[in-house]
Parts: sequence; C-alpha cells; structure tokens
Amino acid sequence: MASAAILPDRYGGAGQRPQGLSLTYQRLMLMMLVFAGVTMLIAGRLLFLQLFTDRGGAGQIGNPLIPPRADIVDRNGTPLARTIDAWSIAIHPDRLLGDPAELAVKLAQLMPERSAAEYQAMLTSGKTFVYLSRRAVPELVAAMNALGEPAIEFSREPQRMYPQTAMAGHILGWTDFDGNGVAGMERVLQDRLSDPALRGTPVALSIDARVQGVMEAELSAAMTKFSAIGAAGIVLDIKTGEVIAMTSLPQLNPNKPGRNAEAAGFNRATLGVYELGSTFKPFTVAMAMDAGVVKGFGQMYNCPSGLKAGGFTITDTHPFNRACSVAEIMKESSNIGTAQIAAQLGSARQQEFLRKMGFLEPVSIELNERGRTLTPGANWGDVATMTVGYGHGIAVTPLHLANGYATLFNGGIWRPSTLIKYDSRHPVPQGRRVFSEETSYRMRALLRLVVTDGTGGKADAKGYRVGGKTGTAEKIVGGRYTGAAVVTTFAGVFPMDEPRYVVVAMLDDPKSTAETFGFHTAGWNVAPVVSKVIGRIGSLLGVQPDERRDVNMTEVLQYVKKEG
Amino acid sequence: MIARGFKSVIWVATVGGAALSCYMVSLRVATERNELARVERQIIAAKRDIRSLQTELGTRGRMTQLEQWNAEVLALSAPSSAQFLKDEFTLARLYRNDPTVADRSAEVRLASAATEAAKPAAPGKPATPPVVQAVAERPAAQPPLIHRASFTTAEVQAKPKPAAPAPAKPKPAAKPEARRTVSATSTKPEPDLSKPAAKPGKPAAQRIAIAATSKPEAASSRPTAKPTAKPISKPASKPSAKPEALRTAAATAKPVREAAATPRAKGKGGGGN
Repeated sequence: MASAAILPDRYGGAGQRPQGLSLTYQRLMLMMLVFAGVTMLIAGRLLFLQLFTDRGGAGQIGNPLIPPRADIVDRNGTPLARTIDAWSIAIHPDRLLGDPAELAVKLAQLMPERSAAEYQAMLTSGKTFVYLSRRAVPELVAAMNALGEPAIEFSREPQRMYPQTAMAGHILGWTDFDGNGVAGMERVLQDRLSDPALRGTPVALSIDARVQGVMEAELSAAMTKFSAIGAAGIVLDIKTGEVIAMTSLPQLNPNKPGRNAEAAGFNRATLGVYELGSTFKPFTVAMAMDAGVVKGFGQMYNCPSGLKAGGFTITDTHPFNRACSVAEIMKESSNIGTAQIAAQLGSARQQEFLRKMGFLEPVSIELNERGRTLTPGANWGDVATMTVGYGHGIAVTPLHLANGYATLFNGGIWRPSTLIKYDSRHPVPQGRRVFSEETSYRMRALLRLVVTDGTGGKADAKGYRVGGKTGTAEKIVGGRYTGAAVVTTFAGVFPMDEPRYVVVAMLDDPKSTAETFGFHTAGWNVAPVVSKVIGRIGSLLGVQPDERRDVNMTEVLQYVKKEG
Repeated sequence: MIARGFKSVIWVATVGGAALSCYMVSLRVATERNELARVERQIIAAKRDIRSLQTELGTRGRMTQLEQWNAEVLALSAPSSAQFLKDEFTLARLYRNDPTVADRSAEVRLASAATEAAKPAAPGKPATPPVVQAVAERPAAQPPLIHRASFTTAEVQAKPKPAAPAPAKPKPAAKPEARRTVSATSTKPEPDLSKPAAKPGKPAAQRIAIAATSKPEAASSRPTAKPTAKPISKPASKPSAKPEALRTAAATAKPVREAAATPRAKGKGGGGN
C-alpha cells in the first residue's frame, strides 16, 4: 500500500532527471549483455561444431560399407547373395527432345526385350517417368548414354545379386524390386537380413557351394541322359541335420525371377511329395528290429511269387519262390518279404515310428515351400501297413527321406533339417530318439550289403564304403499305377563304417536307354549319380577313401544264399 | 616517451599476432582433418571397389562356369581312392628306380673269373666288386680309346682284411658319380684321367672284354677289388681313374655285375671297371 502511494510521486516528482539517466544506463547495460550473450552463444555453437561435428561426419562416411541388405554366404564364406549398386535406366517421356519414332528403334536395338512399337507407345504416352531397364549392365548404360537423349536418366540403386546364378536358386529364393524377400531363404530371413544392427555381418547357410555345384552338375547330366522331367538331390550331415546341398531341377535363376520356366519354380526337394518305394524298406526292417519283431538278419520269411493282400497281389521283380532271410529280402528288395515284416509290426507301431520320424507332417526345415505328406490316413489298415512297409501308399518329400536315413544311421536320433549353419551361438539341437543305437548300428551292414551284393551296385564309390537302398516307384497316372512312368530314388550313406553324410538323389520319370538295357529302375539311372557325386564330394567333405576299410559284414553275409 | 606513444600499437600488434597464430593453428588442423577425411573416403571407395570386384570375380568364376570349363578344356576328374595315401611309407613304396644307362649297359657285360686265390680274400662278400682291368674294344681303330684301369696291389693288400665291411661304405658315395660318368660321353678328359690311374695300376690285372680274362690276371684283379671302393673315397687322384675305367668298360663290366649283389655295388662296380 505504501509503495503504491509513493511511486506516482517518484516518477512524476523533481527526481525525474537523474532517474531517467540511470534508466538509460540500465538499458544500455541490458543491450550490451544481450549482444554479449548472443556473441557467446554463437562462439559456443561454433566451438561445439568444431569439436563434435567432424566425428559425426566421419561416422556417416563409414556407413556406405554396410549393405542395405545383409549378404548370404555358404558354410565356407563363398557369397551366394549380395547387394550391389546396379544401374537403372529410366526415361521422362514428357521431357523428350528427340524424335520418339527414331529413338524407339534405337531402344529396340539396344534392349530387344520389347519391340520398337512398344517403345514408341511408351515414349509418346506423356508419362513423367518410366523405367527402361532396372538391372542394366555397364555396357548398356554406356550405349544408352551415347544416344545423347537428355530425357534418359541413369541412377544407381541397390540390387540383389546372386553370383552363383542358378545354383541353389530354390534355397536362396529371391527378392522383389524393393528388396523384400519373396521366396526361399530371402523370405525366411527377411527380418534378419534387413535389420540395421546385423546387416554388416553375412548370414552363413549350411550349404557348401562346392558340393551343391557337384550335385547339380551330376544330376542335370543324368536328367539329360535319361530324359527325365525333373530331379532332386540332397546331401545331409547325419550328425547335425545340416543340409550341405539341396537342389531341384530344372533350375531356377533367382537373378531373373520373372523369367524362369513355370516348372522351375517347383522345389521337388521340399515341396514335391513322391511315393519313394523301396527306399522305405530299411525303415520297416529297423522298426521291426527295434520293436523286437525281427530278431536278426537270419529270420526267415516265406517268399512265394505273389502275396495276396486285400484286393490285390504283391509281386516281386526277382521272386525267390522259397524261404528267404531278412538279409536276402533287403538285398533283392523283395516287396513280399517286407510286406510280411510290416504286417508283423502292425499299423499302430508303424504309425508311431513314422510320426516320430516326422513323416506325417510337412518336413522340418526353414523354407516356406514345404509339401504336405500324403498318408493312408483313416484307412491305415493291414493292407496299407503292408504297402507303406515297402514305400507305396505314402508320399513324402525327398528331404523327409534324407532326414529319415540320417535318423536311422546317426544312432537313432531325429533332428530337424536346417539350412542355417550351426555354430557356437546356434548349437545343434538335442533331438529325439526314434531307433535304438543297437538297431542303428546293425542296419549299417544290411545297407552296405545292398551296394556290395544287391541292387545298388552301381552306387558304390571305390573306397568310400557307400551303403544305401534303391527305390523305383511307379507314378500314378490317371488314378492308376503305370509301369511307364516311374520315380527312381537312391538313398545312400557314406562312409558306412562311420556314417557321416546322407546322399539322396531322385529322378522324376527317367526313360530307359540302350545303355541301361531297357531298364528304368533306380539301380540303372540314379545309383550311378550317387556314385559319381560321392566320388567327387567325399574328399571335399573330409572323408578319406580307403579300400582296406569296410563294414563288418559277417552278420549279414552268412544269411545270404549264394546263387549259382 | 616513444615507447609510450607506441604502446597501443604494440598491444594491437601482439594481440593481432597471437590471433593470427591461433588462426594458423586452427587452419592447419582443419587442413589435416580434411586430408584425413579424404583418405577415409578413398579407403571406403577402395573397399567398395574390392567388394564389387570380388562379386564380379565370384560371378565369373561361379561353380557352373568352372564345371563347364572343366568339361570343355581341362577334363580334370576327382582323385580316385588309389591316389589317397595313408602315410609316407605308402608313398615311398610308389618310388620306382628306373634303370640308368649304366644299369642297362650292364646287361651286356661280359664275364669275369673268380680264382682260388681271390676266394679267401673275399669270403662271402659278393658285394665287393672285384676290380678287374677292363679294356673295351671300339669298333673303329681308335687306339686312345683303349684304356687301362689299375691300382697298386701293395696298397690294396694292406687294406682288404681289416676293411672287410668298410668297402661297402664308400659305395654309396661312389655310385652316383659312377652313373654320371657313364652318361657323360665326353671323350676329352679320359686320357688325362686314365694316366694317373694307370700309373699305380701296374700290378693290377688287365681284363679284356672279350672274355679273354686269363687266370693270373683275374687273380690279381680280385684283391684289387676291395680297394677300388676305398681309394675312390680317399685319394683324390684315384677316383679319377674310375670314371675313365667305367666309360671304357661300358660293355665289359659283367664280372663286376656278378659280384655285385646290390644295385649299389653294381653302380660302384661300374666305376671300378
């Protein structure tokens, strides 16, 4: 109250003059402080920029080395997929200076994908921007630049490149133009590959590029030779379940995803399901041995020339017409003998084993392209049990088969197949037991017998102790089995005295040739592929051939009756 | 007074100088930084180039391409199991000693005779090549080509017995030398070499290739046999005798051949002749 009373008096009174002077000083002081403050602020900012900006700039320079999408490499570091800066050529039709008709002809000469008329329509459309070529090679860019049309624009944009071209195309898959994976591992690993924190480190697949190359070369040679419509091949590490090579022919080139043949897009190794025939027989014998139905390889079965089962008769290509041992059944691939073993085993136990081996569900692998297996389902009676025993009436993928053999020969442990290399941060899973170790061990001699004395003789690679089983299954054409079209398979394991790798090769509809004396069975066309493949990859995979080592065959040879 | 007058000027100059030097320092730093950034950019550009070149190389050398080149040009195949060896002993077994010129020419060598006198001197020592005097007859009448190889018996006789195992020793050393001389067909050094050899070799036996080995000759040759090995390694002059002799006896070394059980002794024997 008091001050309020005094103030008007002070301003309006006699002390007005000195008061005005001090006010001026105050204002000047304030102005000076403001100027000083602004100067200090600028100086401080400059100092800050001087001290910190350069390092930030250096950090930004380091960035270009990290690709926009992580590389994919094989297990030895060979690049399988990379992102590179590719040239793209575009044109602004609305800014065109030259004659569209003339330019269209020149474009058609340089890029014959489209006709001159199509180019002319594109140039006269009046659009603001059209891509001419998105993955142009430098030669094309130079030629286009020489045209001298200012409306043509060149730019560099990241592009996914697969240096091995069509090799392992089904495994790698491909990306769309925006760099998003749309198939194969590109799609499965989309998040990992585009994660900014992890882009710098490549993803290592379990594939070995050398083995993959060998498998594709040998299979495609056989496919051409026997005029097959397709083929599939798998090399699997028995102990870990890693896929060392997996191929499906005809090949698919992920560099040009849109321009592959329709049939090439189909991955026969994981998506296609086939009745794989006699290659199933070792499973049946192993199941029976594990369940105690078959005590030893000397157990005898009556093997007539035909066995009535339900409404039809099971036959053999090489009928015994006498009692035969389990070893002989396997050696000559007898359907009749195996059907009897399966019947003894029974439907419930067979289904239980197949379920534990993962045969009743889509194959366990990272890929999305997986086929549903076909089984007898609700009709799994005695007859179905018998036919499934020798691989008919059940259709699985070749990868199922490879994994089944791995399970059978690694000591009886099932593990999921994988395309990602196992390392310290990604250890081998525990797996689940399917067969006993004893069964796994005893089966070695039986499968080796098939190669040394039986139907798979052509699959032997000298010194590599190959064991395995042939399988020839008739394809169902128009709802009926026909002898004309078959799927031939060979499932091999090497070295049999200490199993390390499974090799599965399959030919879809091979024809007989003069060289095979009119046969189109697996022993004639696909077994030699396995032999060649093992002969080439064995030493690459660290298996040293040794002709003085072999499986102990005494347990089986004594039950094989020598013919002639 | 003057200093006082210029005081402000000096101040200004000092401050200006200091400011200028500070500015120079910062300018220098900025230049260095720019240089560093430029080098870093270069490094990055180089790394990008490396990456793109690696990609290009990998694409050009892709598996299918290599496979094709192999099918068309190289025609290499995977090693067969026989090409894998377990250890070095298996490897050593593969070594095959191809017969040399000396070994082959040994096939047509002619006889020598062992005498009773010689037998006690070298009992059960088939490896010791008897030094025999060898004379090879050349088809053309070329007198200088007939040489004599001989050794002093006196020296020899002192040595043979105590040195019974010894002769074997120098053999390995002698062998390669012998071979080499055989294949080398230069005629020039021969006469020179033969001379010193011939000198001490008076009592030494003279063997004529035409199987005309007379007994006394052979007898005397036998004792000389052992020393042949020895002298070779010892006196420098004597080995010189050997090549000469060997060459001469290219076709006349049969006796040596017989005496020599091991290839080594054989080679040496050649030298002795």
